[in-house]
Amino acid sequence: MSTEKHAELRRTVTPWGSFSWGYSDVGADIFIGLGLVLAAAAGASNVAFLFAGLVYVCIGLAYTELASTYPVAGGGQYFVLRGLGDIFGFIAGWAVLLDFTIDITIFAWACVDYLSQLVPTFVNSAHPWVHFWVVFGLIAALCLLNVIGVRESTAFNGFVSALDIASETCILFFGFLFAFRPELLIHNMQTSWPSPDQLMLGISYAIISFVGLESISQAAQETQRPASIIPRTSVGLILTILIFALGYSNLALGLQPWHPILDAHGQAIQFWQIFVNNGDNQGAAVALLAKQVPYWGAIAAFYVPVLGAVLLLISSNSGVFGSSRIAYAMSSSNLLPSMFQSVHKRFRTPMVSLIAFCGLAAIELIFAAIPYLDPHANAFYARFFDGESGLDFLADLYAFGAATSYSFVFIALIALRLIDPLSPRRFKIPLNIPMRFRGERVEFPVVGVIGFAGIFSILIFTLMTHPIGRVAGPLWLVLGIIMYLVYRHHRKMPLLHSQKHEWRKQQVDILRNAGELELMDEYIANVKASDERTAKESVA
Amino acid sequence: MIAYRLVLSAAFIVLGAIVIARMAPFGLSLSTLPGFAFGLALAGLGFYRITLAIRLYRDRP
Repeated sequence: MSTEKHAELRRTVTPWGSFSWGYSDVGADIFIGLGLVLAAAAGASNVAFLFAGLVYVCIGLAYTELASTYPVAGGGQYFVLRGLGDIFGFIAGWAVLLDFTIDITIFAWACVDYLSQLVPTFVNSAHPWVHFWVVFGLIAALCLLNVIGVRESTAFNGFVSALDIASETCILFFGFLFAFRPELLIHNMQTSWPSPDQLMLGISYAIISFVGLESISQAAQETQRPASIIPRTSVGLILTILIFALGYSNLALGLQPWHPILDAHGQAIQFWQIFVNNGDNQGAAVALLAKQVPYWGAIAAFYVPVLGAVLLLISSNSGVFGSSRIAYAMSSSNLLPSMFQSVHKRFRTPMVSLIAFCGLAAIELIFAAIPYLDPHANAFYARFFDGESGLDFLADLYAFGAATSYSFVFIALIALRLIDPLSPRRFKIPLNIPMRFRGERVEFPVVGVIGFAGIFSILIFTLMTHPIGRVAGPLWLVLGIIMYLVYRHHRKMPLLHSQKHEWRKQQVDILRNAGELELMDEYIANVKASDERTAKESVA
Repeated sequence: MIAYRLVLSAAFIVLGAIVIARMAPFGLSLSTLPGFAFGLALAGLGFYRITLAIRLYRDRP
């Protein structure tokens, strides 16, 4: 165990590998987000994506700056720990863990929904038990594969990402060329504008199309010279994901379907209306849209469900892998019990973490699926949770976890700019106000404040409009905080204060291990100059 | 890989131009703003990726 604890990850990920790592994680989100947003925000779906997308750009820039300055795999949890202290680091990490466990379930669920476009037996509303067991089987299989140490290779990630980008570009290209009617888009926006509550719900669902930026920091840990590579790949990643989300939402609202779409009474309806109150369609939105694109839809109807399912399965796997890695990092920082660091003797994988978080994912699956499986449970959900189930249930918690952890990351970004101005930042978010803080010249990030306001408003929207998210989300945090306090009390460590951290030594080690020797020298020189200045001032 | 990037980037620019051209007759309003934002972002990403591809081509060993 001790050797594993100090083992370093190999830095073998190339710039394309770094991009595709992030893309295979974040890029899959639109496959589930699109249907949910169209059902909730109707004619304002593109506005919901635009709002959430602008917040996401701020989040992406914040992660890019932090991941290139502190290239370690802990991600948001590490940045918050370093900027705000142990307890807040724990809360942010615990929220990220909620997201990763939901990630496992929601993507496995959507993977089966996409396959149901080709295999009717997998349709949830018609065969709920089959759907449940297939999703459960996928989660169990991913857990087993991760315990024995099999991971999809970076090359496979890259191949699927390249295929998916090409495919999505073709769908948008043919869609905008042959099926897009701007007058229909404007008509839908004017006649189907949602109520304020529905718009807030739509925006909070739209943010789940942009979750998974932890992968930027995970890639940073395994990329050579991350301070130079990460900004380059991240900007491309952020723009690509944003464009696909904006493109799909505009196309869906202005789409003249290739074949007429009829409702249950034989009346022709708009394309976006097929998602309203239809969980099966919401789970396979991109495949249904691709099918309606003239010419390209003829082949897209067959390959998009398969490509989508593969990408979603990779994303589900990144939840399994990511949750164990975050738990490992939190345990190393004494935020979680040491059992989360224990590794299997033979396979040398964090078996306890993997089984614990896949078990949690399975429990979440049961809560999401039970209304379909049991009529009594369905009546209970209808009475207390507005009838939310399946993807809605999972997306509720996903939005809560993401908005909570991203809110803390923005505060950490601002705090680190103030308390750690000596760490060299190869990439810095634009729009900064120069000022002095504790005798040092610092730059206050205006975008950090804008981003925080945006993501915090989405957190409020989530609490206001998600009946499950506002109960189960805070409950998850409260249970975690109780566990944290009991653990710290047991270890005789400060409960609300932070333990002593050697940040300067850690930063030198981080930069050295990353191969950023110039930045390491710059950091050491900054620290030396700052210490000399402080000594002179204290003498004077 | 550079050829793939260039083709994809060109597709982004053309697509952005198509979107802007088709939204243009309706003028700028709240209803057309997301469409214009999308078209501009698309063309912007295309140009960004082309500059990256050119830089990679120049810096190749």
